[in-house]
Amino acid sequence: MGWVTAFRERVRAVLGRARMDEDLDEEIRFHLEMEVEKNLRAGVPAAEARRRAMIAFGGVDRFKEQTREERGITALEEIRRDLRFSARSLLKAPGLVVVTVLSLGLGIGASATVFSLAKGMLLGDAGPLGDPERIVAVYTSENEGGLYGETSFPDYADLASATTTMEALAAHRLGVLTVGNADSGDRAVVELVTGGYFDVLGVTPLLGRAFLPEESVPGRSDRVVVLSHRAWQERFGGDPGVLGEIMKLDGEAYTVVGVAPKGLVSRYMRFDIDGWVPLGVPGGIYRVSPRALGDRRSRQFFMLGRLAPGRTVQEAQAEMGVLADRLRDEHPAEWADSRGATLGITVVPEAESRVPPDVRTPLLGAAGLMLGAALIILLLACTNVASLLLARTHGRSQEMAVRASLGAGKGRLFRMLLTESVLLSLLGGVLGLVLADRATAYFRAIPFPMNVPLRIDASLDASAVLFALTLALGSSLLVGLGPSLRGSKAGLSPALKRDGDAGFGGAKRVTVRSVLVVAQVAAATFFVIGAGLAMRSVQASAHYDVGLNPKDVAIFWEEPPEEDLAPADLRAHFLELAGRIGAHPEVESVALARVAEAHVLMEDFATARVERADSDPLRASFNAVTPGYFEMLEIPVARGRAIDFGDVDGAPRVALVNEAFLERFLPGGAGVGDRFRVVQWSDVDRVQEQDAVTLEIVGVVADPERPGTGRGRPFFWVSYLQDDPVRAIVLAKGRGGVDVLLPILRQEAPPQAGDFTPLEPGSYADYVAYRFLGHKIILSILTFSGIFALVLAFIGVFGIVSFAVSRRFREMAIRQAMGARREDVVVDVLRQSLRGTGIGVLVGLGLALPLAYAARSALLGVAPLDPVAVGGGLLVLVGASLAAGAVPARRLLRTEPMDILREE
Amino acid sequence: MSKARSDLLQGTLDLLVLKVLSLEPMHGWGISERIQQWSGDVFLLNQGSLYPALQRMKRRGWITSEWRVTENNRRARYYALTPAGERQLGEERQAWTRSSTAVERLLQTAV
Repeated sequence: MGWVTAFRERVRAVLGRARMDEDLDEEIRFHLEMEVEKNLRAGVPAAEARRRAMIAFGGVDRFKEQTREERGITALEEIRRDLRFSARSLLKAPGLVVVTVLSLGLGIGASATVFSLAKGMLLGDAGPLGDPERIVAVYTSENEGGLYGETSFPDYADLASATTTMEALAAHRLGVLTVGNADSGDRAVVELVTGGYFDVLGVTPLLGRAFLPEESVPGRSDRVVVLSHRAWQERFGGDPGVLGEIMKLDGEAYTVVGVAPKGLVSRYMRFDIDGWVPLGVPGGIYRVSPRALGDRRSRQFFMLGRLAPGRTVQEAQAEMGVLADRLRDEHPAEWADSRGATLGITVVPEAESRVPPDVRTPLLGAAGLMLGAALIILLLACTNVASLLLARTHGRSQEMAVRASLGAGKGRLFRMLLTESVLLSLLGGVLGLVLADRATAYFRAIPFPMNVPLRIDASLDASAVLFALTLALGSSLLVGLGPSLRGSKAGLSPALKRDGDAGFGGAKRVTVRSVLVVAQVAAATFFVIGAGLAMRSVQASAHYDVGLNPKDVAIFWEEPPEEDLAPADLRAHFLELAGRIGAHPEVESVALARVAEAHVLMEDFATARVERADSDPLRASFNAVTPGYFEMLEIPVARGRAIDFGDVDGAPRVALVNEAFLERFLPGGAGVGDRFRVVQWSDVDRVQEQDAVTLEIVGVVADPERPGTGRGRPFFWVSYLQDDPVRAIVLAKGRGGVDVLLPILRQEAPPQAGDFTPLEPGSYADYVAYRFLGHKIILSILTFSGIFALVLAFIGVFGIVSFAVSRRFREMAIRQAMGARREDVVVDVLRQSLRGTGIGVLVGLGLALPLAYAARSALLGVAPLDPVAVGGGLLVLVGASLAAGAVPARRLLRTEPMDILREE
Repeated sequence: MSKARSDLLQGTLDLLVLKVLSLEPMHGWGISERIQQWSGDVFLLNQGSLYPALQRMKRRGWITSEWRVTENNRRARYYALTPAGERQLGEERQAWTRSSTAVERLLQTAV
């Protein structure tokens, strides 16, 4: 009972303080009146009666205060008072507030952004999966020997029916569909899944249901879709009556049968996808056709299994090993990889499969580096804020001394100063969260270079907010404790005597601050030079020789019109399309190819195993091209000839090779007229059935001069007219430029429902530029960091010079009074500021240059010691630190020495 | 004023207030009057010190307060004992008896 009353009393104390004060006043008034009346009744005169009552009571204000304290909320009240006081005193220093909040905000924002991205892509939680510890990912090894590859559908079907350690095994892959009509341009990324997919994941849809067995028979599936939570919100406004609605995908009507719970993302790379569609809907959903479903060589599906009760990952692995042996025996040709080695199956727990195991290490490394960089920036921001606060504390030592002498306890002073830091950090934290929110929104919708609306599953969730808050409070402790301790320790005498700062007792303090400034300048140097080099690299990329000239060339990807066409018929179909395009007067030349060379994601789509004289066959990338291709793209044929119209079926098979290929695959001195053998042809995920072929070299292509990267990669070209085509990359060139060509391409090759192509009609030069997207992203990151680090360094230098100047005002004044010239004094101050800058710049250079040398190949020919980047960066740094030193130095110049001395 | 007055022991005040309130709910001035009457003006009570003590006992849940009208039609805050306060009174009284007995015995042997 007691504590309830006590608690209520406390709550009332907090909520109704004003009211309680009034009550207390009234209560005491009543007491005094009663006492006066008593005295009057005893015959005492009015004035005396009043006086005696007051004496008997004994100090109204004193007891009022004591009573208030007894309310037991003094701590709370004092925090409130501290906060109010801090806010007021900070408002008097708006510059300090802006700079510190901005610094901390940027630092915290950067850290929280990187944290969110890393978490979204790497550490992602299981999401709404049921019993995730029973879910496993099952991989078939890859052509190149990697363990974590896709599986063909026939293999999947065999494994799924044979397994006993898993109660269910599902297959899935990503697909891209067009929403609405074929030309709408609105793409949806979905997962194509077998019927048991949601059961394997243990996921119950939020609304509706998962796929029924009868509507998800691969090859004969119904047109039904389960929406992701986000797609439901974005495309249907979260309408609870969405079930049964029709959604047009690839021009076909799909029925919405369910909505997945929030947080369910794609299994591959955790993309925030639009929905799920049963695998193998007739009519040719993106590349999952009956032919692909029956092709043991077409490995394009990932598998997920749910362990049977009581079974372990090891048991599943053992069973898959046995099944893999059996498949190898039954299908020896299909179960060999490109080097002739046999394939295997690997079982991995779900938690380890969220990021593809083969890319996890590099991704984790990259994320760790970025988080490290962000934390360094935050640390720099903290040191800056700390040194600003330190300077402020120093400037306020008199104020502190006065407060202390007025009776403020040490704890009270400490708390007051710390409250200021906490307030600043929290403001910084709020700003950081806002920035991180904007930044993650930007990264979520980062444009991928394939017209695919892939979204990274990264958003500011509770843990990121917690992370930012922890950073904010941690940094406030880091930032606030030092200055606060110093401030509260300031004590009475030294500060009041005002000699404390004239002497050299604070030498150690200066050293610490100098180290901070050196660190800041070093970081600024590092980032500024990095940004300079990145900027120069992007500049250089415009002229970078990728081995071909894509200017005025439009390009697109055309799929075969139907499956199982004979190679000659398919070729004829594509050639006819090229002829229609070439008939337009605006088109000067048109060519067909198998791959888009120099497109960073597609240049290695086609590969061949080439025999060598001295060792096992090795893989080389190739392209198949029509006559006119080399001329159109100005690919320099150094010796021999290009592909021409004689290189058709029936004629000798020919090839052009580049110099790197000659060097790598053929004995020295080989060239035009020599031959080499290809034993296997592959395209993306498919090994093409083809017998070994001997090719005669008819031309040699000069490798581009790629400064800094050495020679080109081995590459060869065959005739499109002798190739077994899988697609056509159509290229058209015209003097009118790409803008004139695109309408013609769209007219002659209108978009077809159901064939999403990763290369929509566009400028070849733009597609080639994707290979420099990384440079541009790095440039923007480095520029941002560089500007930020520069501002921090500026503030740092400004802070330390101001501090030094303020400490040495008297000394300078005396020196001036003794006859030293003012200029000498100013130079002295500036020299001091430049010394710290100089050391910082050297340290920064020492860090930046080795890294620049290590990353030389990514610099696109820009020298690591590029005079523009490095020299310009140094100029900026020295200029900034001179400017930062000049401001306080001017104060010295302007002040009359006698004024300073008189002030004492 | 009497010379035999002595300062009121801290803690004793709580006991006295509880005792007063155990008879009937009372306002602050009434409590101080009652204590002074009982003690025959022996205790020198700063009347004001009563109020922090009342607030403290309220916080501990021993007493409650309530605004009421006196017989003379004035508004005053009346304090009343809670069950917890009654228990406290019992405990304090025992403690007091114990310690005063102990002190008494000590003085007798020492003399």
